[in-house]
Amino acid sequence: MAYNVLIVDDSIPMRGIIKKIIKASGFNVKHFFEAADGNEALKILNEEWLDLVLTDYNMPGMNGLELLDEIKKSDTLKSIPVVVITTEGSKQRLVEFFEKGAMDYIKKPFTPEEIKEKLNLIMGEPQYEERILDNGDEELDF
Amino acid sequence: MKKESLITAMKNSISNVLETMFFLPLVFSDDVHKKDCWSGKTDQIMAARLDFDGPFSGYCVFYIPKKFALSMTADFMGRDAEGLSDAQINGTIMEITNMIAGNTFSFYDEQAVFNLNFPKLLRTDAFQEFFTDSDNEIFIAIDSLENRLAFQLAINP
Repeated sequence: MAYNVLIVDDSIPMRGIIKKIIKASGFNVKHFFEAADGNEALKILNEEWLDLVLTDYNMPGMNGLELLDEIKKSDTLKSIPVVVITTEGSKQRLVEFFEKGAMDYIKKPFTPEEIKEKLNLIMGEPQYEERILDNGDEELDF
Repeated sequence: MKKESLITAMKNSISNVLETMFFLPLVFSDDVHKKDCWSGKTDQIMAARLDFDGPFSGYCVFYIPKKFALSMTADFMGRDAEGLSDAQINGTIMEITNMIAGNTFSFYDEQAVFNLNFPKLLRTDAFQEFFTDSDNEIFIAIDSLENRLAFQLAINP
């Protein structure tokens, strides 16, 4: 099975390195989508079928937390797992991510092993598997 | 604000970011004064500034020779240096600034919330305007692979 992954980050190099690390981790990606901020991300989310969103927190325009809020408010998008990527490590901020519905967070700087571990954890979530089944994607073999 | 704790947090953050994501060996050059940091060198220096607020407010600046920024970006992105765009090089410098600043505050006090603005590139002929003799400024020179980088944190009075 292969997944559609949306990477949201205003930094072009960071989007590139996240893509590279995900590919190197062996995670099976059907297609990478990229957005430079939350507004661009929402447009893609409303046009494409996405399996996973990795979003930076600190972006101009709509930031990662605001994007997360929009995703979780939408009946059609709210079951998509969202992982927040952030340089900020204050406990209060991390609690805020989870309260808004983030499935996990990745702290920058990160290693390929950390990314791989987080993605494997997310793909093993029963709730995530149920969402795939509910949407009847026949290519997915659960 | 505890200055010694902040210096330790800055050094931990610099090591964390440059070693983890860029695999760079580092030495902190504590005896180098900022005004002499690049004296005798002809390299063009690039710099990015990030303003912050929280329990205290101010700004951070990351300085790097342009040639080194080019090779770091190429390594970071897994591409040849010749094919890189200015946007990619600038983006890498701004991302490093963002990561070092964010991690500095996490190391300094993980209970506190600091708000980071977006990094901005400084004009290459203007970055020395940010050098002051204020006690509220910390300047850390870093040597890596025969290149001199620096990270500065200034706190508003």
